[in-house]
Amino acid sequence: MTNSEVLVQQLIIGLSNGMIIALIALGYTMVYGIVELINFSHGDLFMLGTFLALTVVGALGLGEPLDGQVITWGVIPLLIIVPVFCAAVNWTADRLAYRPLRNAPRLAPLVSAIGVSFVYMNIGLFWGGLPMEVFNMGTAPAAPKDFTALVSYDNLLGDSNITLTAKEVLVFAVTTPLLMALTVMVKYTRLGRAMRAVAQEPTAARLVGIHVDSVIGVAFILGGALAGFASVIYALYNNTIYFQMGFRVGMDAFTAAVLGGIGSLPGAVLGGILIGVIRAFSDQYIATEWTNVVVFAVLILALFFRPSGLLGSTAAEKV
Amino acid sequence: MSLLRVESLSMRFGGLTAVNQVSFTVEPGQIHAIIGPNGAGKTSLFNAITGVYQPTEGAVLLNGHSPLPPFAVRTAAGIGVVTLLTALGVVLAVNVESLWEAVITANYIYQEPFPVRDAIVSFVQYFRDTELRYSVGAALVGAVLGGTGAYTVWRRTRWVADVLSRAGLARTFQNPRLFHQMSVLDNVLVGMEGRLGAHVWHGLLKLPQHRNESREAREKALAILKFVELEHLVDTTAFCLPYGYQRRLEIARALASEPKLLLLDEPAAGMNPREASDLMILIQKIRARGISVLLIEHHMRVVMGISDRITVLEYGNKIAEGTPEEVRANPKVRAAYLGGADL
Repeated sequence: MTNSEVLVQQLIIGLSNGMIIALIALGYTMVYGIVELINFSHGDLFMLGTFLALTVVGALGLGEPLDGQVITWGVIPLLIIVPVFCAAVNWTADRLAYRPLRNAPRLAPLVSAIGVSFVYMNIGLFWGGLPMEVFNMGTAPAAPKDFTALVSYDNLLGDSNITLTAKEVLVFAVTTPLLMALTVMVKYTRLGRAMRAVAQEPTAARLVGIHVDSVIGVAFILGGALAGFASVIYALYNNTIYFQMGFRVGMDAFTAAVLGGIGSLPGAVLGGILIGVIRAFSDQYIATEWTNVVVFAVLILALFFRPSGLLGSTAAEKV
Repeated sequence: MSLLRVESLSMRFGGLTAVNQVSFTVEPGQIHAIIGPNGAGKTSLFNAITGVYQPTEGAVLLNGHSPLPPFAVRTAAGIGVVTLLTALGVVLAVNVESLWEAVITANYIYQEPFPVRDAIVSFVQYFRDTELRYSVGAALVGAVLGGTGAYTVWRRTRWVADVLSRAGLARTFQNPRLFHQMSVLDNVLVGMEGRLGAHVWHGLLKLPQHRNESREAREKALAILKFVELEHLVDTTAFCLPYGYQRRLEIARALASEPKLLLLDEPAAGMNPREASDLMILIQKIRARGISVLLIEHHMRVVMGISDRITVLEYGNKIAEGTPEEVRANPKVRAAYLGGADL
């Protein structure tokens, strides 16, 4: 492989992972933008999504692709069931754990979110310990599980040195329409307008009669659904899942949200893509063990020059 | 019947009593002013009436009724479910290790499918075998915790601004709190949110009915902007507006929710005499639309010029109430305003 081919290859990998991180980062940033809560359980919700995806694969009997033939239809039920599940779980967590603390000091729901994260992680551990046929890589509950390869590894570019498989195509085919739909929703619908209003001036939004709790619920539902989509494509793209991965992926996504400017939706996408690409380049050109250092160094550097994130609002605080 | 009746309302912050046992009424079609030196508790009173704060004591009645959602069957059912779930949760939690042993470990065979039916049988058997009084005790503790917790949360989240707004209250703030990144028109449209359809989800479905509704909403918003004379600035972003216009826009947004009572917190603050008299005309126009107005104001010319009734606060207490003439003549009020040089 020539140098430029390596560069293109890493760019493809980075963008694919970045799009997935962006989907999760949107969940962090949307909830933060509306209730100023850093939902630390979001990464673990994503992890639960991957476990459900693998369980569904087992329940529907979707096996390995035969003779390199892609069972694309197997992806479709996953893309319906898992987002619905994640959205429902996220909404329930808001209803039970965060909504009762809406008027409490900011720290209280934050601690609840950490607690919810532990609950999810233990559910994941329990889930991983269930005797299921699809959990075929290590029977210990904590062992990583092999995610069935539903999408083929074949190179779509034929004999080229650069590999572009259906998996990468799938990532972009799922994430791009989602991002566009979210943008249209927030910009042009009544619901989106209500969401922006709550984010900009919560007190005033309440006072003009917006059903603030419903709007917050919608933010949790949308964020959860995006995390659900992310968990399906992450599992299909990276093919390994385990119960603690929510922490690492969630950390990446949270970093992406902060880098892009927490509260800003385009910022989360930009941050996610940047983190994905930086990770890929650092893996290739520096060393994998330095990747986390590089990512956080970039974050610190970026926040040094733009404290509210790359696309965060720089408007003066109201007094 | 009085449109708004405030009954011995108190607002305390820790040791500080910002509002102390204040009662007054606003009659339909009235312009009612609240005056008082700085720190008299006027804004706290506003915040307690509009649900930004929950009053420490006292009641606020709109048209003789409490605007709060009553304790309905649905509420009781919700609290009941939470009670049952916490009771169950506590029972499971105190038994967790032995229960796990009896139900999961005892039935689980390595690399065999998990026998769900046997597990259920062992689960029932477990409670037959153990002494029931521990479980009953745990269930009671759980039920009490869950029930009181759910009831407290319901009580606490009942007095919120969006409920009161839908009951017919609208207000503006001392410093305009607009949706700064939105256009002037969008600000007013958001103001209608509480009146448009019941649920936010409806906004996602582009049904023809909804499209008609949004066209009507747009027309209504334009009419309101015309009413406050901002129709030439429809597409301007709110934070670009000059201060006086921001105040007008805030009033427009409040009017969009079709209130019965409009609360204005120092609408004339920072205005020159010309703007202040324009504002007086606007407030009178609002009253002419059948909307009562409750306002806090320091500008005595505005207060005395338009108010039907005035309530005077000092250190959280009501010291006088009456028509402008009565208040002007009241020695207590004069004393409160530093000898009341020129009221």
